[in-house]
Amino acid sequence: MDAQIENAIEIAWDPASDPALKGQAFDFLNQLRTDAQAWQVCTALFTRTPRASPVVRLVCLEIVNNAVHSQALDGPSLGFLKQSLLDYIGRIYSGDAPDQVDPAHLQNKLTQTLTYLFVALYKEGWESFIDDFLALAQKDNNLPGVVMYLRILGSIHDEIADLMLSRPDNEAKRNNDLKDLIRDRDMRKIAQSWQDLLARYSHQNDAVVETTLKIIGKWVSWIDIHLVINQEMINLVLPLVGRTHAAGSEDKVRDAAVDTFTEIVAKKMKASDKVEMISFLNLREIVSQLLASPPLHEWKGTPRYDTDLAEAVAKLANTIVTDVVRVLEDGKVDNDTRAKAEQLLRDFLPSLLRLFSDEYDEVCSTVIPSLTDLLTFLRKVGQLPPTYSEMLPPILNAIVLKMRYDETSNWGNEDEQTDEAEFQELRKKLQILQKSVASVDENLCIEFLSNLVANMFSTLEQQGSQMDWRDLDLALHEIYLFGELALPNMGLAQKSQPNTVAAERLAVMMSKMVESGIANYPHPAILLQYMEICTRYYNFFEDQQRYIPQVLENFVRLVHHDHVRIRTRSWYLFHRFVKTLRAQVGNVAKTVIESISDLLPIKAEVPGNDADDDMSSDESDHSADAVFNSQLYLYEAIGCISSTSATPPADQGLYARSVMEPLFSDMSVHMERAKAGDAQAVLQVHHIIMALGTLANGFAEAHVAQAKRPQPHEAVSNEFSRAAEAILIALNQLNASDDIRTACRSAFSRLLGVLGAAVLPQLPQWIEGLLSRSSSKDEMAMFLRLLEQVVYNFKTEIYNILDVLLTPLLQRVFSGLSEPINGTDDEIQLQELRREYVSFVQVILLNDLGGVLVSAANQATFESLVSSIINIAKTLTHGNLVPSRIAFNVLSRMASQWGGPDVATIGENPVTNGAPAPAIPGFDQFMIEHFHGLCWTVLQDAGFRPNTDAQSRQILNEIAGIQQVIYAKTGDAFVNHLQGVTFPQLGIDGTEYLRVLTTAREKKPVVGWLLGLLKGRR
Amino acid sequence: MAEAAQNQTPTFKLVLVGDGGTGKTTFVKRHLTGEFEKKYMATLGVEVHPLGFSTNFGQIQFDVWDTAGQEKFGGLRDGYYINGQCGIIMFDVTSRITYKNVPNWHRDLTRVCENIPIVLCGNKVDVKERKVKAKTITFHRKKNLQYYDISAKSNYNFEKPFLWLARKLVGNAGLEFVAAPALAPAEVQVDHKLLAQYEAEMQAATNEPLPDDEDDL
Repeated sequence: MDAQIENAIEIAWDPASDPALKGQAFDFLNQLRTDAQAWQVCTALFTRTPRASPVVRLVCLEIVNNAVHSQALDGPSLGFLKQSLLDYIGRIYSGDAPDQVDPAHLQNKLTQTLTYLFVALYKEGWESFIDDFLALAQKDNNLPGVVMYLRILGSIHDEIADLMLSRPDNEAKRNNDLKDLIRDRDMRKIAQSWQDLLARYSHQNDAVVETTLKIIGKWVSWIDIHLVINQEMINLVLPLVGRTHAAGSEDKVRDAAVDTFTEIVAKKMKASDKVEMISFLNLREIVSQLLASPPLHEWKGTPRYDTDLAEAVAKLANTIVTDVVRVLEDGKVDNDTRAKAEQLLRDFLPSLLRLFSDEYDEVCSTVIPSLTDLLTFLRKVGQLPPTYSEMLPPILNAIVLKMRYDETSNWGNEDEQTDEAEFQELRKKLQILQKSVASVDENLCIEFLSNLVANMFSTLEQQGSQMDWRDLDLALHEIYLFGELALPNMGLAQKSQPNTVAAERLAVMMSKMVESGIANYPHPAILLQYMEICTRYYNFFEDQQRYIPQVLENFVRLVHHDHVRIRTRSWYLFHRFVKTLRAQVGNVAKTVIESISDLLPIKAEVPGNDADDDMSSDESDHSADAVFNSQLYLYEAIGCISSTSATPPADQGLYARSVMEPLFSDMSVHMERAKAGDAQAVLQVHHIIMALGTLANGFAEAHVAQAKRPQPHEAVSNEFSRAAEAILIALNQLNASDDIRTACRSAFSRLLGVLGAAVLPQLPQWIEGLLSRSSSKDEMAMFLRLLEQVVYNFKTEIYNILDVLLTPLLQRVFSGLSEPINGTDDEIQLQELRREYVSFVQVILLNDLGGVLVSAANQATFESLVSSIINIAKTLTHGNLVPSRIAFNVLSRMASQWGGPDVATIGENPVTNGAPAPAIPGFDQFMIEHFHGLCWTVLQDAGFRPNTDAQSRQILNEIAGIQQVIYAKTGDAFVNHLQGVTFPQLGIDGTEYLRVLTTAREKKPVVGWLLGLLKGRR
Repeated sequence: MAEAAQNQTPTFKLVLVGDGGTGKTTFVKRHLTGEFEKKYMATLGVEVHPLGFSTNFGQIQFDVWDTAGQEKFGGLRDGYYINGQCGIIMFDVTSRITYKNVPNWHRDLTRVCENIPIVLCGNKVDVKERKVKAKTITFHRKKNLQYYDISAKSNYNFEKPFLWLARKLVGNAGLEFVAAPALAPAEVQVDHKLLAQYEAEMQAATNEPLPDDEDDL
């Protein structure tokens, strides 16, 4: 059998084996696992001489492990296994056969088997487990035994005490029992063995020392701390921490020793004990000596600088400061402990900041958490005593200096993108820290940063373009961030009051910046920052309009910059700048258009199959598509600047025409080829349509600020009517392309703002073109959303058009709703279409256009319309709750609109007078039967859970509303129906419901009653 | 000639582990060349995908051992890890349990492959209903692994784990990929706003102190 097992494992392992054979090997192995005797064969196979191959031996142990771990072995079997393995270990690991020691992965696997045996037998059956392995380690000259012993200790910890591993719940008690048993039986011996090993191997074998230190670091979390913290142990570990190789090569033992201290410090204990321990271990001395040692001091700035050590020390300092802060935060600590903790904080801060300022960002990042803790603590203190407040300036100084670009780094270099991105990430972290400092002492920040910026500008004045761009960049970066102080939340939320001092300082910085002429500085990073800042603080220019012409001139020049990172970004910024300051820029459109006209020509490029396009995380997208998308910003900017209030309407029309004429002729040049299916030509037409729409958007934006959108001036709307016509031609001729339809839809919605009522006669053409036969559900949904916009804009003017259009439109929607769905994408599209459809009907009703639904032209579709809405209302699948709620709301509005005058008055003494008189004959009965029926269908739906789900609760709200409306419109007829049909069907006593329904003026009591009903039912 | 050049390509065995359904196979199949060549080594139990990358130090290859479908039961289990030189542990950010099991995968992997560079990957960040928030992903910091958000379906960060491993294995942080590997076209588009938000959260999370171990219970 063992030969078979061996064979099967070899076949299964070899990626090149024949698949059929491999299938057999698999079946065999799977069967083997279920075989009650397999573990014996496998144990023998593992210990056999001559040895099987490593993979065979590993898999054999795996099968044994499986048997032990799944508790398939009885006592005698476990005893047998124990004896077999002990024999094997005695043979191989007692120092007599050093050349036969297993490779590391097999030792680990064997350790795993032994650990499972430990778990099963340590309490009873193998009480001498630790002793047996300790004996191996204590033999003279038996390194393999030592290594095995240490592996066992590591593995036991992982199995019973490692808190990160997820394990079944029932193991927790077992593990606690085992820990107690170890503490009781063997812990002193084990701790002593660590000391012995450290003493014996310190100058002999680094691997043993390193592993021992790591084991101590693991075990310290759950054993008596005094076993580790005692003078003998410290005397052994300290020299390791201070060890320095003359060669300056990295020293893993030293790093591990530092890590061990980190683990010791991190152990949970009482605040006062923690403070005592940090002092006892003399960690302040250790940390400062390490920082003064050659690898971290003398060799700074050279390749010999030891970043691993720096990181280890950073971890230690971070843990210490975190713990000290935790002590200080604890309101219950006694004064003595507090005083000591404060002293520790003062002692460690310089080291912490030294590590924070490290040239290597990993080291800096390692201590950020504790610095964050410290600042959070200081903020909570409130009024800071001098001992605390004097900590802030050095902290702030370190943060700001760390934000500066490294001497070795370049900007915008394609090869250094990763470094650049990492630095930007670090800057974000630092920005958070700087904000924390500001929240402790805002004035300190304001003063510090004002000085920094002022100094930089005066240096610039003296040195001009000789000045290091990194210094200038830092100043600009700080100006960019300064807004957080001057205009908290950028004025969006009024939560925090703007700081007037900071706002004044910012204004000074801005004036300095614009006047300094850095727009002419040679380094591209500075130019980009300059534009970002001008755009961010546009408010400043609203007050200081005299600067606008100069900045605008800078922008118009910089949009031509040839650095790849400036070019397209500057187009966006230019657009933002112009858009936000359109009221102030005056009549400069002519000049601007002339100076940027060279950037306007559109050149569509069909994306190739260039693999580069798929490169996943390429942040700087310089593809043709990206260029065009940025080009659109230029068109929008022109739209904005051409329509400023200072520009006479006739000129506005003229400017629009001057930009559009080239686009029109370009479109007609490409149209023939596009019709023939030329992909490039189609894309070109697509781009032109997008450009026209975006230009219109720029014009339209002018009016958005005003509450009531005025009719656009004729001079403008005439020009854009021509654009609309051109687009309609393209739409008509290239209708089969969904890209073109998408572009047209986008352009159409943007043209609405500049066409005004002029769009109405064209509307049927738009609709015909935009909703093609091949439109997907998605497209239909978007189109309905667009129509909602049209209905809202034109309200009554649109009645006649809507009247003609509705039935054909609904037919298409119905067929979309009933299409079979395949997969989740379809499902999502369907939900979308349902939602847009019911919203569309809702918008019609909301804008008093309900008549169109029942007009002569659309009467025939009305019933299908209502039943489709009822269908959506009762579809309660995940993702359809919103459409369902809207559908209920639509029904409720229909009931109000066509149910006739109220015949029942809800109130303390409900009155009904007269018979229902619906606007549509028979609608009263229809409501009771269908609307009301729907309500109870949904209420009885098992998936409807308004007691636990907020969206269902909203639906319930609508249901209550409908119930009330139906009562108001039909009075006694409804009461009779409830008593005669509904209640008997449900088998409930509805007296209380009737009382609530007829007396509650609000929905809430009705909702409450229904909630109670549903709660009781389950 | 070509074969001779092939033989000289430094090749590393990469072990890909993680709970079933986390997208290991989808991930490794994004690399088209590897996918194409794999057909000649189609296997049962483990699939080995040779993924080649061009670097500024020349061509290198990862033989990715994808243990798909064999994670927990049957097969050779950790037998496949033997001689692994680097590893990727994958979990699914839309499934908390798959993250919870990461330490177990890590222990199993390092038991057989001591001291190899390992990357932790949170897959499916394109899915909007993310369950494992950046703040909770701290395991890599405790064990000195590298972490990346990835989305196998959209190719997002596809090359990052390989680049990091290549740098570690070659021992040169200056190693760069000089040509993009041929990837299967993205099946979904990642929402860049969403990703930016995740990055910001990851950022904020790195600033957080590690949670106390006892809180993990």
